[in-house]
Amino acid sequence: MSAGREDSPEQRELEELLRRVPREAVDPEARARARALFLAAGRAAEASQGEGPVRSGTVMDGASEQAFELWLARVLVPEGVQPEVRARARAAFLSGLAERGGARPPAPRRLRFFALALAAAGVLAVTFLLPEAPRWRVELLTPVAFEEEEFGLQDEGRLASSLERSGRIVTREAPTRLALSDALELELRAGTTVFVPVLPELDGGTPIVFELEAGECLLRTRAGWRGNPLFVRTPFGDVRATGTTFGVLVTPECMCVCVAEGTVEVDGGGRIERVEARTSLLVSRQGDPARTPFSSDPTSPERDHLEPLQAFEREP
Amino acid sequence: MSDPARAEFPVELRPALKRAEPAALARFFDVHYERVLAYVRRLVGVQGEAEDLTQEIFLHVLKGLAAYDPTRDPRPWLFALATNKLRDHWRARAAHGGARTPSLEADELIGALPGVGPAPGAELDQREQATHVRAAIDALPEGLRATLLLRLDEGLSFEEIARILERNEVAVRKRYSRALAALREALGALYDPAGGGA
Repeated sequence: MSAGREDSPEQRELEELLRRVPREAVDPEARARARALFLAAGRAAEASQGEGPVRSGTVMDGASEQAFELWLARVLVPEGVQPEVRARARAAFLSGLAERGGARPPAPRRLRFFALALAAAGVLAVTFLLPEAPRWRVELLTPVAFEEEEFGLQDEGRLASSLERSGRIVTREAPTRLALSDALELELRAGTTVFVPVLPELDGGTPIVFELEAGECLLRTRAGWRGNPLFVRTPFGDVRATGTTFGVLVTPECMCVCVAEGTVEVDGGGRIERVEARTSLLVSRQGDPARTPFSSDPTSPERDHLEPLQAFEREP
Repeated sequence: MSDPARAEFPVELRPALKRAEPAALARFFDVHYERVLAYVRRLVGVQGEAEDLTQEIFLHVLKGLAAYDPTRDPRPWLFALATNKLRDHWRARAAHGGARTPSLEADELIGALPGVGPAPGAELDQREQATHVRAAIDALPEGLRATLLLRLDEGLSFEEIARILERNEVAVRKRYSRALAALREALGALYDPAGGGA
């Protein structure tokens, strides 16, 4: 099936379609879910073409089995890996490349010396020239919690490594900055709780979904952004943006989406609101979403929300 | 589920993998590590043991590159190496007097799986649902579990799984159907065909 998937335009098209289905596309492990559903659909197709599963009194009928497979694909979420463990295994694997020479027949003494020197150089090269640097860069002003572990001001590098896996980050009394090289910047304002997904390839196609549970998150895509669909999921709906600067504030009563540059789409229960630049959209549990232009009145109550966003936008 | 969010190993890098070029090896590791670790972890059940075994599997990849056919997807080959490593691991544990020796030949359900469904009326988020489903998968005999993981998590064909598990394809199809049926029964009311997570 896997080989067929690589070669079949129809299956590629199906995968692309599944990626575009909003529900799957905005799940926290969106690409994982889409892939799993795609594979389940592929299994169903294979079963219907082939002889199908062998049935007896202890198995389900074909339709029930396929429905159950699709359900499993939706329910099962990927499990995380400790970044330290992964980094250790990776270094061992790449270093092992140099050690392969040891299994060959004995060589003359001088050659053995050169072989050993080359092996040592290889170990150094793969260890230091191919290190897996964390893709996130972190700036802390006060300690934060990530997956209930405390990270102090001296732990920015460790937090950046930890962010390679998914988890919930909780900021305290000051903002925290997260950046992906020249591609994406996030400012998590004080008192914010956000679930950061497993970071996918920045390939322009894989969706990235941040789940904002409480507080305020400012986002800005930069010149290096490859165009991966970018979402902020909130209890009030999903906010989708590509190539833009915007802020999302979540309180128990409402959500406010403020767009400084570009546009975003807010999908709340199937109704999609497009929000243009210099506009705010207020979404509450009661009533229709309310759209207002940015206010320039310094006494406006929304200035507390707009000023950090506009400062964030103006930064070089 | 393993980490299928990662990209596939690029076809154009397969010859470089065969030649053990460092960049291809690095990419190979990045694409497959989480997947292999998830597979091994579900079969050995102990995190630390799974991590050590996965590291050994990747070192074994380096020794086995001569046998890799660069015209094919390396994933079935890698999972075959992983499965053989698991067999060796269990054999070694048996030799040291392990209480019960797991085996990929084990595919007989002795009685029903323990029910893992939540209390009636409980509302679970997707992670909690996934935890229950994983617990049910862990309770399957190793043979059924390996078949299910290779099919469900990795999307491998029955033919590929048959080669990995050294069984015939019909037997693998049977195993897979039995695994699904046992899982369905163990999940009880947790299985909601209309739902499926947030």
